[in-house]
Order: sequence, then structure tokens, then C-alpha cells
Amino acid sequence: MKVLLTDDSSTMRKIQKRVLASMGIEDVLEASNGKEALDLIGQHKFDFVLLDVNMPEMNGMETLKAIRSNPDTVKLPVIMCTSVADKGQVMEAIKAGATNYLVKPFQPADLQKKIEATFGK
Amino acid sequence: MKIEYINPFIQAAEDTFKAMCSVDVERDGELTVRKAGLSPAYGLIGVIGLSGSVKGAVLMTMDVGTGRKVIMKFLGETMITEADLFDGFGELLNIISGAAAAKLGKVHLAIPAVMTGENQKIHSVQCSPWVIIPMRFPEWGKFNLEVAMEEV
Repeated sequence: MKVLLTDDSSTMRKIQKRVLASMGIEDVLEASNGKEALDLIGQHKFDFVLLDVNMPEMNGMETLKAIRSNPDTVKLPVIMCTSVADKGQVMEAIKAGATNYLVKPFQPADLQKKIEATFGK
Repeated sequence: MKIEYINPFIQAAEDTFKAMCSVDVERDGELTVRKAGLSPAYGLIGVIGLSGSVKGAVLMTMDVGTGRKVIMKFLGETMITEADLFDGFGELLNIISGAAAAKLGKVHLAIPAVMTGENQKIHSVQCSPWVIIPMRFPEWGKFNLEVAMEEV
């Protein structure tokens, strides 16, 4: 399984990467904003993307909309991971095509459950 | 500033440090209020702007030694770099502010900024005064959350 982590926080990416490693997922690439993520999505075939919302350059909502507007990635699973958890933002993300949604703060087990739920395990 | 703006930040700090660092925090004294303008700061200083249905900012300060312990626990590592310290501190402030903001309406967060140094001063032109929330990690030491906010 190949995964793209997109978060402007390098520490958050380290934490997410460790959770993925504990699930046996080692093929992981990292991006620190939406533009970097879209570049990598254009170059690699990912099984899913973990996408932060609040990022510089290009935020997560803009990135999600770009992913969904591209026929090549319209079905790419995207798990949004954000610290702003108001219902309006969650609904906006779901409407824009988010596959799942994880709210910070979270415990490692919460991320693992979201990934498993996304893939129906 | 409305006092009901403060409780979400206290709750968010408790929840964030518990979930992300497996550590408890507790209040460490009464709230105090400081007028906008020059204010002292020390150690690790993180600040994040808020906009949307409110405008304001959230500040978190703690000494560098306490910050290192927090970020080592956050990352689950016994050795951290200076970059880890700054990035992790900003991310924790971002998570605390986001969790609190979700209870305050449609609030947008800016990207957090983190700095360090002794005898620093921060100048604020916020109209609203700062409410200082003294808190502590029972095993590691004190920190402050400071909030300045008003409705738009």
C-alpha cells in the first residue's frame, strides 16, 4: 500500500508515519502543502491520502477539490485530518468528496481505526 | 472579552495534551487580564491568529526545558531536534486553538508562528485585552495560555 501524508507540520507527519508503520505500511511519501501533494499525486499512484486542512500555499480543502476535479484521481481515497472540527467544515469536506474525516487531537488508535474504516476492514 | 470564550481553550488544552502527549494538565491559579500593548514573554512562545466570526489571537508560552519534555512525549522520542521542538510546539498550539475554535462559531486559524528567547516582549494592537490562563503539567512545570478575542 502506498500512502501520501500531507501536513505542514513535520512532527505530525512523523506521528502519522509511525502509526502507518505499525500497520505494516512503509511505502509513504510526504508533502508539506497542497501544491506539493498534487505534484506527487501526478507522479505516483497512491492507495490513499492523509490530508491536513490548515496549510500554507494551498490548503486541504483546495487540494481536495483539485483531486476530485481530476478524472485520474476522482476516486482516490482522501482522509481529511484537521484541528478545526466545527460541523460546517466537516460538512463542507464531505460535500467536496472527503472519504473520511479525523479530528485532532487524536490518539494513534483513532487514526488506525479511520484507515481501517476507510478500507472496510 | 466574554468569559465564555475562555473555557473552550482550557478544555482544549486538557484534551490535546492528554490525547497527543498522554499527560495531564491543570489550572495553576486565577485568570488575569492584561491590556493590549507591550507584554513580557519568555522561553518558547507560540502565537496563532483567529479570524471569521471572531478576531483575535492565542498565545502559548512555556520554558524551553518544559517544551522539550512535552515535544519528546508528543513525538514518542527521547531525542528531538530544534526543528522538532518548534514545529511540534506550533502544531500543539494549532490543535488546541482549532479544538477551541470549533466551539466558538465559524473561526479560521492562521498558520502558527513560534519563537524563543529570554526577556522578550510582544506588542499587540488587539482591541480586546489578553486573558492569561496559568496552567501546569504536574510533573514538568508551568505554562500559560493567553487569549485576546472579540466578536466581529
